[in-house]
Order: sequence, then structure tokens, then C-alpha cells
Amino acid sequence: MIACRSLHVAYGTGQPDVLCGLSFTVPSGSICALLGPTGAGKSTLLHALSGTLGMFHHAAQCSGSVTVNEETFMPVPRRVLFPAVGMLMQEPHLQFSGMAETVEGELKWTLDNLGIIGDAAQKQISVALDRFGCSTLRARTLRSLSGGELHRIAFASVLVARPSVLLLDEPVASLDQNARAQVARLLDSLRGDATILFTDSDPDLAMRLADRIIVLDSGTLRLDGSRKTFLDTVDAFGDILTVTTWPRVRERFAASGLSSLTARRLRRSLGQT
Amino acid sequence: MIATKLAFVLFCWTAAFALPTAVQVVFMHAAFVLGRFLPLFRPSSAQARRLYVRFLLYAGLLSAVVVILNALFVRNGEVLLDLGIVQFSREGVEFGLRVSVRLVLMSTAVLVFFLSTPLRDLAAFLDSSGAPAVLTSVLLLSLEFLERLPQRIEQIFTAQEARGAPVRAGFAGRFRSLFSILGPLIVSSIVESVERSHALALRGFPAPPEHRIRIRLPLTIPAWSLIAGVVAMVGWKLWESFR
Repeated sequence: MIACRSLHVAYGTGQPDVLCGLSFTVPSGSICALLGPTGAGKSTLLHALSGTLGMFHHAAQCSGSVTVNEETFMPVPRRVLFPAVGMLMQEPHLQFSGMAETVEGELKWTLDNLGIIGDAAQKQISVALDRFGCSTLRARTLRSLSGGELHRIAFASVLVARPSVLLLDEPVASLDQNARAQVARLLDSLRGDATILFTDSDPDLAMRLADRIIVLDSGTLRLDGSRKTFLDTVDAFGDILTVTTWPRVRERFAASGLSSLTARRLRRSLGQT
Repeated sequence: MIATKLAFVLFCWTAAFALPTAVQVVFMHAAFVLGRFLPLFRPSSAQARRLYVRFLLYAGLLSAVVVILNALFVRNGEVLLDLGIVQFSREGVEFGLRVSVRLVLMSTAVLVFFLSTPLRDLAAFLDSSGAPAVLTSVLLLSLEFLERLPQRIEQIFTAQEARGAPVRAGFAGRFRSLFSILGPLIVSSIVESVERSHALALRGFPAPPEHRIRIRLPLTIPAWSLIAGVVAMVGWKLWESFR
């Protein structure tokens, strides 16, 4: 479970608030999408929840509270909540330890830090790789992997620790359609096992699988509701969300050749049709 | 294997201060030969091999300069060679030799160690043998920085070139655009280092002491022999100073 109560964050005294009194709850085992434009505060929120904000940004001014897995922190955790919380960064190459040559070594490194070794470690590595369909990559060196494969291995290196809360920072931003669909299937398969919060600036993935959708704009909560609520009120976010691959849009406007529409343009277009 | 190489560095450094110059010369040549022929000490990449050869050339040149300068300026004792206005003294030559042999022996040992040990292996060794996490983190971040540096410089070069900067137009052009390249390079490196340190922490690094899988230092017979040599040299030096 993840909960925030009146969470304010600024990156220093006298600096403007990056998060302005956020309050929301993500129930255990559910999938929540955090949508918003660049600079909305999505990554800051993930860092606040994972503990990296409290641990590394000593000048940050925070107030309110954060609850992760029944443990409440006032205002934010001051230590990284590993292994309870796993976080996938935007750039997969930043995720790797740099100490392992192979895929197996990379996953093993996470387990080494947990003190899991031997057969137990091998079993957990196999499960994680199977889940991503990457068993054949086990002995490959990281240098030999493609971008999509690196992304999956970065994800697997987080998941191998079996976190109960999974924070994903734009997990499909740099992926093609096939890889996006694969990530969506994977997240769907984790539903119920882990509480998942992922950020995106495009509602496509959120529309496919989120149980609830939170829309952030300039650190303020603009929406916290179900997919249906989001669809019903989508017009309100025309100025902040870019809709590039939203199936509904794609279906509706495939004939017109439009590939990228903001919701505002969508509203105008809908009005015209 | 890294423990053996570390023992070798320790041995050479101790020898540089404890043993007579003639013996140091023998060890210095031994270090050269080890770095060239023994797989354990051989440079790990083609680039490292080139660097090693270049180091040997520069070390030779530097030693010659140090010996000549000392021979010229230290004027005590017997004159070995008299060229009128320039005289080479025996004491100067001997002092120059002592200094240069010591420097070359110490730097060869360190260079052979680093050129034959990938930073990744060194970081893993330090982490598992209980070294401070800060040290390992710095090594890992440096490794990442060095690996991505050429690619990043190329990206910034291309970006600056696209904006009309004469980044490839001769030495003057390159020099002028140096600052426009250094800025983005430093900023992007800092940002990435911060993100990477977050990512490492998020994967449980550094592990709590109870979870650290400590390597039982695989001290081979050569490593034990080198350590015994270090102890013997220190003991002999102490005995000699108190005699």
C-alpha cells in the first residue's frame, strides 16, 4: 500500500514547491498510473516514496507524511526502502551495477546485497528471467544486448528482489509498440502480487491496465480516480497530456493520418466530427 | 588473483624504500617483464598495452633526465666526467639513479596492477572484501563515466557542430569550442552520477555487513611469498636501523 497525506516537497529553502500538498492512496496489489507533463513532479514523488529523496537530497524541504506498506514516515523516508520498494529508473544503463559482465551476474548482484546466495539465488534469478522471457539471455554479456533487452534486464534486476511495491519511472517511454505491449502484459501479470505505481506522460499504458489514474500538474493533484473517471473528464487535461498512442484516438483518427494529438486537439476534433 | 597483484604492489613499494638500488633495478626489470609476459600481470586490453609501452618509453626518458640533472647539479665527491664547464659527479649520478629507480619501480608496479585489472573486477573485489562503500561507489561511477565518455563527447561534438560551432576545424577551432563542450560534459556527468548512485542504493548497495559475502582472500603461494618478502624487508630495515 502507498499513501501520501498533504505531501509538500521543495528542493531547498525558499524554492518553489515541487509537490504541493498531495494526498492519495494506492491500495495493496493494485496498479496506479501517475500521469502528467514534464516537470509535474512525477519523478520527485517516486523518489520521495522510495527513500532516495530523503537519503540523498538533504536540502529538500518536506512536510506531510508518506505511508509505504503500513509503515508511516513523517514526512518522507530517510533511507532507501530496499527490498520492500523496487524502482525502475528511466534510463536502463543507469540501473546496472557495473560490477557484473553478464545478465546472470547483474541479477545476482541484487541478491548478493540481500544475502541470498547459492541455489536460492539461482532459483530467484530463473524465475525473474522467465517472467520477462529472457531465460536465453542469462549467459549473455550486458554489452551484447539490444536496447529493448537491456530495458527488460534492468526491470528483472529490480524484480528479482521481489519488492512488494514497484515504482516505475516512465517504463515504456523509449520502447517500440511490441516492447510496450510486453511491459503491459508483465505489469498485468504482477497485479495482486505487488503494488505498482508507474509514471507516464502518455495515457496509453494507463488506459490499458491501471486500476486508478492520478494526474499531476505542477505538483498539484488534478485527478485521482478510475479509468472511467479519467475518460469522462479527459477534456480537462487537454493542456497537459500528450496522447500519442491512445487506442481510442488511433482508431478514431487513423484515417486522418494524425499521429500525435493533445487532448485539447482531440476535444476540438471530436467537436468537429 | 587480485590479492596476489596487490601483494606484488606492496612488495615493490616496500622494496623501493628498503632494498639497495642494485636490487631495486633487478625488481624493476622483473616488473617490466611480468607486465609484458605473465598473463596475470599483462595489460587487459589493446589500449592498456599501448599505454604500457608508452609508459616504458617515458619512464626511460624521465630516468635519463633525472640522472643527468642530478649529475650536473650535485657537485660533491669524485668527478666522473669533466667537459670543461660541465662536470658529472659520481654522487650526483648515484643519487639520480636511486631516485629514478625508486620512482620507476613504484609506478611500474601500480601501472601493471591497474592495466591488468579491469575496474569492474577491482570494484567487485573491494565490495566483497569489505572495503568502504564510498570507495567502491567512486570506482563504479568512474568506470561508468570512462566507459561512456567517448560516446558522450561525440554526441556533444555533433550537437555543437549542428549549431555551427567549428568543433572539427583545426586546432584553433577545437580549442575555442573546448569550453562549449566541457560545460555540457560536466553537467551531464554529474546528473548521471547522481542518478546512478540512486539506482545503486535502490538495489540495496551497500549491503548491510551481515549480508556481505566476504571473499576468503585467496592468498596463493606467490601472494604469501610476496607478503613474507615484505615482512622480511621491513624486519631487516628495522634491525639495521637499531643495530
